[in-house]
Amino acid sequence: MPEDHQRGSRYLSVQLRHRIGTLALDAQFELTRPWAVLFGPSGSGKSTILRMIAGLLTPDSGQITLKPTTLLDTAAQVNLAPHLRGTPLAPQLPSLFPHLTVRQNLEYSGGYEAWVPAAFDIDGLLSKMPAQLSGGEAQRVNLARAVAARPRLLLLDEPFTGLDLPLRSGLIEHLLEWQRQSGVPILSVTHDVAEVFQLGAEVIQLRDGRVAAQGLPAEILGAERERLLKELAAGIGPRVRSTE
Amino acid sequence: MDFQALWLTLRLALSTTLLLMLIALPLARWIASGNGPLRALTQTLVALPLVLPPTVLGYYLLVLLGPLTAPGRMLIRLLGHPLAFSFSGLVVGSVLYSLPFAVQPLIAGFRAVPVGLVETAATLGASPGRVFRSITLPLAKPSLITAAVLAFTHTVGEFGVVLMLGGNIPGATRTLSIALYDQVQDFNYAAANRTAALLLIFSVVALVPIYLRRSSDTRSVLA
Repeated sequence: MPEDHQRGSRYLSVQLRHRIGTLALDAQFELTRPWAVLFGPSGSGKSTILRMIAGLLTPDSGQITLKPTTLLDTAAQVNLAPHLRGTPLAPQLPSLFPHLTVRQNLEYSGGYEAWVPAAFDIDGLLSKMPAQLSGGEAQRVNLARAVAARPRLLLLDEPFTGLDLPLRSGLIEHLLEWQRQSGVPILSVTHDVAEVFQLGAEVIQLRDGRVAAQGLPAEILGAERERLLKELAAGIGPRVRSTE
Repeated sequence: MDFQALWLTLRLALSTTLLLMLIALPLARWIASGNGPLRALTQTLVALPLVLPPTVLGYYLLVLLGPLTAPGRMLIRLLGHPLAFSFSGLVVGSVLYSLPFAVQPLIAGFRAVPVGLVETAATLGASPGRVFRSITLPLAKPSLITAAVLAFTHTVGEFGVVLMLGGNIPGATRTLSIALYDQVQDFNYAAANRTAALLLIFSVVALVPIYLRRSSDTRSVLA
């Protein structure tokens, strides 16, 4: 699919080799759609890849290109510092700056656009300190702050973990709407099949540090979804009968 | 009460603390930012005054800053007078002697700042300098206060280095702890009592804010 590859190079291309602990990372992929999801079990190297793209970890060898910028090229000894990459990483556990208000957290990258607080439903929290927020509120601020940083590529590490379904759906809608307007690609990490289908994003499936498959959710995770649905149906059946 | 000695002690402690913070902040930042033999060696040298008898440090400084060594001769030529037996000499000695008391709390404070916050700030576009100013320093503020208070109080109480390096010149190098020693030598216990009580009260008053602050921090974390 040469056409896909051409479109893919508009976003991000990644080629990484790294050995860390028991993980031998050898991953190569290109984003062909604006939102891609790194999917795989714990320890498959998802978060490591995200950290390498953000510049927080340098691989033994590799190349990362966010068109038109080369973020990393070990052969050419190019390694852009994290603060110059334009790739804010919203970590799984919201790391809000505890000594700054929510507003100051949002302003950390030099101000935010007026629509951001409302879109993430945090306009009532702006004067609060992070310690006063609930888990869901902190997660929303965490995402809003990354969006407010005017990224060139947004990196999200399990951004919806621990959030209830309505909240998750609302956040996904806001992010998709923001993406439609800004055109900024998103690379997120998850091990949640339902989330992948909800996003409709391109799936990059990782296994033991390698890309096992890449494509649309139905192609890659169709069988997995069927299995989960069957399990769900089997679990619900008896309970429904017992309440009758 | 030897007000001249009191004034001199406060001046010495204040100058030493200010200088120490200027030196200790970048030094602690560098040590806390990584590992390796060079950092370990630097930390060892910084910690040396903790175990070295103050008189030994004072003796070496006396020799080093005097006319017997090349650096000493250069200093004498630059300043027009030897550093030993002068107020500036005392400041140099005090800075070295109190260095670990300023550097160690700062290293601990900088290392306690969660690395995730520093990394997040960097990916949000903050340069290392800005991350240090806007995240690391404010979060390590209690350690900064601890370092400054310890440097100040430790300088107020020092004796061996001051005696070796400064002698006992009223108005120039005679600090309160030296005055106390003199008062006891003269069997002037009434004056010695006042001087000792003043030093004791001063130390307690200086330390209370550190621990008050710590207990209120603990409460706010638990709340």
